[in-house]
Amino acid sequence: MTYKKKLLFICNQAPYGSMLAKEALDSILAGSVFGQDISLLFQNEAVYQLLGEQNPSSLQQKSIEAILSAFDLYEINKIFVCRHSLTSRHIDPALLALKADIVNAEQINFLLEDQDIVLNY
Amino acid sequence: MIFSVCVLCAPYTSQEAFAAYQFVQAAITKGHTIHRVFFHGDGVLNANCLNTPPQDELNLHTAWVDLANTYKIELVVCIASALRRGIIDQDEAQRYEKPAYSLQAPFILSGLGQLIDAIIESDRFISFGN
Repeated sequence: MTYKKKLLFICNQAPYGSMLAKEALDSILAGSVFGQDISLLFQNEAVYQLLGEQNPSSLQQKSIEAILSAFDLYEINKIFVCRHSLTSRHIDPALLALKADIVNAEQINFLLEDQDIVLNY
Repeated sequence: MIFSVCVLCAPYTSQEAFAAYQFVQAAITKGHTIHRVFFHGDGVLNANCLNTPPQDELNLHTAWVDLANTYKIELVVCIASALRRGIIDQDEAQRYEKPAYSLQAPFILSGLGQLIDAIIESDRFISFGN
């Protein structure tokens, strides 16, 4: 394998409403372990995954925030968040627990065009 | 062209589980190669060999088995998603001391590395069910 593929993972799921949010994060970490060029886009309900001070213990679930904090170790740092998804939910970008670039629809189009593979979760 | 497919949704809950099957079938008919079908999340429920729909309805599990056996397609099931949902092969059933198993060949349990490998090795990668 000589060529790294550019993989964009699009996360759409709210953090604890379905297991798919966590399963998407597992596949992102796997992609990183395999040395691929990883980018992430959080949009729609998935922007709630990025809020700080999550405490899902009453749901008997593990914290998504803890998994996200591991991204740095995996050198996953191309993280994008849909501006429209934030504003339509009245989420202040300052509340995001992860360092991310906030992007508009046009920037998302460029991001998509730049990829070899898009995985939509 | 070499394709791989990821199935993220359960059979009978979502039409997209069958759409994934139809896509694979159509790609083969058109002369393309299917490198791997990967079942992730609720998609692992497609691998349940205990699924028993009424006889006059589609049995999607049997359809996948026939397609895989005819065209030698790899059907790989995410082990982490599968164990959570009771999709276990004979070895795992013994390991966890369960009274039954629900997954058998040609479906196989493996890790998410197989998903990333499929992406690397294929020209196109299509997900169904989200």
